[in-house]
Amino acid sequence: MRSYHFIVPPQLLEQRALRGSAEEREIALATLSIDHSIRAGRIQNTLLAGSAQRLQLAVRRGAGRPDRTVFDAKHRLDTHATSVLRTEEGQPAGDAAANQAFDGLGATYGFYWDVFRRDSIDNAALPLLGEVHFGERYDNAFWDGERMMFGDGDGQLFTGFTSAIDVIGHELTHGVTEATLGLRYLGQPGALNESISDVFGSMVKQYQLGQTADQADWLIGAGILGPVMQGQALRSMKAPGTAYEGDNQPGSMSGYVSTASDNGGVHLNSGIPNHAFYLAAVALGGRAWEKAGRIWYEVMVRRAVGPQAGFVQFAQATTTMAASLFGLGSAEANAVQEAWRETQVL
Amino acid sequence: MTESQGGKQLRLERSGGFAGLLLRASFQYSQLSEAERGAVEQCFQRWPGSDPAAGQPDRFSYRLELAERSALVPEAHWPEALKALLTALRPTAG
Ligand SMILES: [Zn+2]
Repeated sequence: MRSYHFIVPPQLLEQRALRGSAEEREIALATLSIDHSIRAGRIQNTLLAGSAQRLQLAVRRGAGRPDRTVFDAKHRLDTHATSVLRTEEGQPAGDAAANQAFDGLGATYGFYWDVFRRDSIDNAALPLLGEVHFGERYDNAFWDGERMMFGDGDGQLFTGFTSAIDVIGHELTHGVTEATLGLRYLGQPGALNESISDVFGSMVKQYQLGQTADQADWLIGAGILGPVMQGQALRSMKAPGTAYEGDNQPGSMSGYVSTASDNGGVHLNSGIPNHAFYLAAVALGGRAWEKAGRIWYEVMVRRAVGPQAGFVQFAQATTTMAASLFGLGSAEANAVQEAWRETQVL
Repeated sequence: MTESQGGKQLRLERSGGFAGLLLRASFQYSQLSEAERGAVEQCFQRWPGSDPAAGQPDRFSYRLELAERSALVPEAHWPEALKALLTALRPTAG
């Protein structure tokens, strides 16, 4: 018996789901549900809710295109600012920070789509919302689960957070981690959460620059330090503990820091899994996202570890994943295992 | 304010944020305003202890210490009355 495979673009199916007859809508939704179950669910929910305008927006985008909006927090600590500076439809804003944030959100979306065919943070076309000028002289950037906030910096410790694409990649990856592994933000799972954000943040930068693993600087936050900070960046995945004067990130378990501060030292001990990724990526050569990055990503999307995972579980999961993807005893599996051994995790 | 608290140092530490920097400041408790002392007391009551707790990625958290008492306050709950104290924070190693 001959079987036929009909390949219909998701955009066309979505158009049918939106505008077709009742029968066409049912067929389109059923087809979408096979490989775009979340998106189809959104369409169904939207149809049920009757918000056709929102659905039309979602349909118009199509997978592979970000849906970005950058708001102006106007120096307030307002996580629901409504003043829009830039959208997909509009022209570049007369605000450099807004344009940088817009571009960084797009570069991060592009990396995840091009490399992993991941459609935004939730893999279901979540709109990417950013707020610039968050707070007064605010020395931070963060993802709050719905939006990314960018402070302007105080001009002393930091000069702003929109210019560093790895910072934006880092923050949006917290959303990806939340949507996949759900790692608890405390102690070792918290440090893994941090490290995954650094790993993918660095790869977003490397992807934009077209760099191989050995060409990359493996720095996090280069270019945002103010005059009080003596150094080149906030973290070094290549040489943890050397990014700035006072950097005391460990690169192996012998330097593991037990502390109550910072949710149990999540930004310190992340240096250990950061360095393991660096070692694996450089040992494997080529572009970091092709092998090491793919292994890490598959551990995330396949939820190979639980929310409470520590370094050992994550190391075992990446080693097992490398063997699963590339073969038992493969160069990839060996390189990943060796990286965790060198950092004294395994 | 109790007599034992009057001559004490109130220690404030900010940790977390994308950078993970540790900043500290200390204040003569007796020199805080009445409103500030009231807000500090509320922090001790509402956010007691100093054990690390799970939080939101890259948000700041603030630790207050006064004699034997301590509080760990999430950034989103830092009292408006204590906003001025944050300007005294300076980077510190480790
Ligand atoms: Zn982070």
